Amino acid sequence: MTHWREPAPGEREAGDRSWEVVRSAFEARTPSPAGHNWRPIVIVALGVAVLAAAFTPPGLAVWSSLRDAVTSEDHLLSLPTEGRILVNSPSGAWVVKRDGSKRLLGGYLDASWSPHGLYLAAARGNDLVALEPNGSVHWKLARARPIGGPQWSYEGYRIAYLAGPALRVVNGNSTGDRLISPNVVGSGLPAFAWRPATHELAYRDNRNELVLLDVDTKRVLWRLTKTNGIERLLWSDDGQRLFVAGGEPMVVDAAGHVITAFSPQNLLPAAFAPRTRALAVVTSTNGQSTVSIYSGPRYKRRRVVFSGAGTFAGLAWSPDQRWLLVDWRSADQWIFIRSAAVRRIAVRNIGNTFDSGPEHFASLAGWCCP
Amino acid sequence: MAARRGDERAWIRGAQQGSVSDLEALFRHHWPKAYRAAYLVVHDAGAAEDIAQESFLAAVRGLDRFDRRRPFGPWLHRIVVNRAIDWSRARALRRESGNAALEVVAAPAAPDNPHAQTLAAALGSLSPEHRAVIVLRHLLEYTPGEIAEVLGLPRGTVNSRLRRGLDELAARFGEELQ
Repeated sequence: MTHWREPAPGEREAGDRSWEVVRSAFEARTPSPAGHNWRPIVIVALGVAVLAAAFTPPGLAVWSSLRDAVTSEDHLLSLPTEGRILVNSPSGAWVVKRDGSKRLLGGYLDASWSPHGLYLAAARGNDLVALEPNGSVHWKLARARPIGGPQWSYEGYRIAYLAGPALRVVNGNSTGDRLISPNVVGSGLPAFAWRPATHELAYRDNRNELVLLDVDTKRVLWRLTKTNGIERLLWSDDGQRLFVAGGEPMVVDAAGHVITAFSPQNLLPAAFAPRTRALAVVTSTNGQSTVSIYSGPRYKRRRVVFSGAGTFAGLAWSPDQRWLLVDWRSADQWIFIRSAAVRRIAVRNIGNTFDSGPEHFASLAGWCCP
Repeated sequence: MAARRGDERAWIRGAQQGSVSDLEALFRHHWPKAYRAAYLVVHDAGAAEDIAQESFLAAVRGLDRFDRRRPFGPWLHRIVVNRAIDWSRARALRRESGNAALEVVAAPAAPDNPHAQTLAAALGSLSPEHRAVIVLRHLLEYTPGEIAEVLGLPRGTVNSRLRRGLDELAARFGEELQ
């Protein structure tokens, strides 16, 4: 019977992780110690006063304000695993830590993580800004046109960004700024993505062709002409698979050969699982959105993870690959989906949590390193 | 691992008064068996972590109402084992709908104990209800009467499940469980 006494697989690590969650929950519920507890008396007195006042016209107005305050409550009290989530909202970039604390970096748009989460690159009007998650600015680079969509290369030595319709690249220390393409907007959305472990940039040019360019040598490595309405490009972590989202979504390999072509449909948002080639995508049909994971050598294996009414606006994998976060915009919720146990955590009132309100939405910009 | 009953009462009292260190002592003492019990019923490390973790969270939520004169273990184990049975039933029902999707890409747990995996694999051939009574009896060392109380079953049902489960295990697992 000795086997009953031996640890089960993962027991200790799971215990350490779970203790952090339990401790957070415990601290959130523990009342502050107080010498003499006047709280119940004060609450009753306040309750009587509120009831007395609530039925007068000014009282009704106050009641309405109170109701608004309650409905803007922040329900994002912690993250279910290690890492920090970056959120772009109309008021700026938010960094959400594991313990649920949130820092607003006001006025910054289109923020993105550097590879190890030490820095952010963001746009502020015509400035490209590199800053720390605590808001300390390292450098700024002013351009003549509005800045958009900065992205770091794998080791942080290059940043690709938009200045108006032009695609540019600058070194990670703000030197060596150069033009890559004068117009990558053309008739559609800009789309570009660094290939991991390289300085090769995939982007959609103004003829809607897909190009892989070595930005250091300016050499075009390959070009795919038979594309249709490319909207977004995503590389797998090993740099061997590129998901091309758009009118005719497909996955190509590092040499530009098509691995699989999906039937024409919108497969966005999407996200490769960390350290794998499995791809999570959202499909929408008849007002219903579904998160599926495609895997296998030719992405023929599809498994449904989560479905819901309305729109899913973002996906992000946790750095440890154990959780998939779904931004369920129509429900104003974030859904954290746990891998093996299909456990779900729903966090509501996301719009107000990030001061974006129901009309202006906050968008997921990555779940980065602890 | 051994803790006196008085230690546990002191930890619970301390936790009820807001002491994080007492809660941690209670957690560290009970985590191994809670996790192991869940693992042996569900045979899935990720699910076992969730089940044990959620059981502790439920315990934290109910801590203020907990009667310190009662032992903490049975209270926690009741939650763990019933959740593990529910999870196993739900997975059996959902197997065709692909809800285990993320397992494909989840990082596998390190095989740090092949014996526990073998045992869990052998238990996996039983129904969740049979697994639960065997885990309660042999891992958590409850008497059949206590198991009946934890699972809300007649004692005769517990005995018959124990007998049948052990017979099936013995056939698969040799003499290890004798």
